[in-house]
Amino acid sequence: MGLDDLTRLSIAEAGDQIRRRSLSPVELTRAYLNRIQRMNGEFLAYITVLEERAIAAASTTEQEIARGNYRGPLHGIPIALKDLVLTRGVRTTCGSRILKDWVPSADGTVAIRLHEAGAILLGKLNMHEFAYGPTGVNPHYGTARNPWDHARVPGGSSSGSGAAVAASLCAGALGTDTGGSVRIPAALCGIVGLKPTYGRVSRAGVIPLAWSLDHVGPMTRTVADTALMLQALAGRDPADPSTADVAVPDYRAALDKGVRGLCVGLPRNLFFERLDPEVRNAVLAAAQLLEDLGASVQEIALPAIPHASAASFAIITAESTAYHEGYLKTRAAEYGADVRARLATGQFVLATQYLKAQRARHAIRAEVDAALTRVDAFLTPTTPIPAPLLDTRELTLDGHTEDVRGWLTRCTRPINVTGHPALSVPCGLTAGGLPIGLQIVGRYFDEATVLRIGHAFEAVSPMKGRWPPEVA
Amino acid sequence: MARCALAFRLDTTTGPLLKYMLLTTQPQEETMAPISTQLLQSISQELSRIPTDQEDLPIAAVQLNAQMDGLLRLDDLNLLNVEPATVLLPPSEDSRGAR
Repeated sequence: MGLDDLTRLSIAEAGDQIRRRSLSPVELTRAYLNRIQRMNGEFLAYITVLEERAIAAASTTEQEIARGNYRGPLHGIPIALKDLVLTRGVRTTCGSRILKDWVPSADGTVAIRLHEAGAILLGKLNMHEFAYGPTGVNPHYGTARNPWDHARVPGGSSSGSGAAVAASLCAGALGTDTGGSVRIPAALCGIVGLKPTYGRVSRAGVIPLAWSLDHVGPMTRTVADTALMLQALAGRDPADPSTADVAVPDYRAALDKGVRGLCVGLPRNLFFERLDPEVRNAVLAAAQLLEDLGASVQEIALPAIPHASAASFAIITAESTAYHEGYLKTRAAEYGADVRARLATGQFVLATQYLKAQRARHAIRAEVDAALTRVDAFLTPTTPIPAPLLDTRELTLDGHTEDVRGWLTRCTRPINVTGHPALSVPCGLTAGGLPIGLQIVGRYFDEATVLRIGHAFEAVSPMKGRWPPEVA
Repeated sequence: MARCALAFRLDTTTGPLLKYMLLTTQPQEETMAPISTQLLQSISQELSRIPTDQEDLPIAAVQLNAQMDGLLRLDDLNLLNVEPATVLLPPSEDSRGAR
């Protein structure tokens, strides 16, 4: 098997070979590093590559496994972290100039959990500055490129995570999601991304964008791999009071149950308005495929969901500006123009608007919860449009012109407002060869059902076996 | 520190406010309550402490305007019975749990 072939193995496949000792973690890590060395200049997915450290860790891992100390399916698997997860002794830039030389003295909880599971850290991934934008355009480190079309954005804010996983520059990655920042790059790059339930995965040691909307989630090439990463990440963390003390099920065990007997909803308002026709067709075709697999599909009404956009705006702007207030006073010139302007907006959101948004959030959350008593999950597009070109500022569709940020986040940010788990799974390609994402939203802490539906769909998806074109 | 000199100050953008008064057909005392220079200076002083670059204000205004209708429409939701959220807690586990 060639080096590049190794990087095409899923985490589950590579993990199985490592467990049987037919694949060396050092060999696998070298394969990824070799690919990063050749291709990161094109994709700009990594801000920091930890070559020596990764080889040393893989070597230690190999010895551990040889001694019979196999830790589980992530042991020896090369992964990467969005560059806002704190890593002890490794600079954590948050995609910003302000933190370009900051080296934390402690690890974030999610970094610790992946390390304890035996994963090998390849490096830190590019992102929208301070996670404040859905395109991934970054004036400080360059914009990560979409592996399906290098003239287009990979989506953000976890842009490097999306690009690196899709281009096989790591086996899996972590992203964070405040308005869609895991699911949007997953959809635009043709990979799987999960925003878990609010409170499922610790945010301790992760630089915040908006405390009450932030989530950390895995990004991988298969649903099974997302389940494996979530297994290592999920659970109460005393360092993060927002995490819940809720039992963590065996996510992998639930995957193969199929969808027969499940009922999935289709909320027609908001999510299916003003869509790229190819996106609409792909998502409705996905619903049909799930029906063919034995699920029942029914339309559901979510009349309050359009209010989520304004609520999300008030909460993100107020919370992010509160977090950045110190740097705005002393280092404002070092922010990129788009992020600084957004932070300026937060200065003028009223406390009454913020509180009203938080109260509205409870009403919206209750409505979605009620709908999820009638169906097991519901389906929407992840984004109404495929990946835009790098310099796109506004888009017009069905006579409606809107900022590209509004287009990209329309279907994802309501689910940050409610806190339900949401998975993006690739469900097709446009005629121009751009990936389309299907969003599956489930009940609180029921990631298992969301993953189960995604896994069943993945097996019959038109994206099965499709890879981005290789770099020449 | 150079940025502080560019911080937003009300006294540098009073032009449009005065124009608004001129455009109205009603007498000034019917459209606006009298505001003392002292009060204006006091407001200006407070606003100047907001760390915002003047060049960002037009974008901020566009972003706020784009959401203003949506923020007003939040009143359409019945929020009277919703307690103000001062502490955000994770949601409770679904009663049926994972299947």
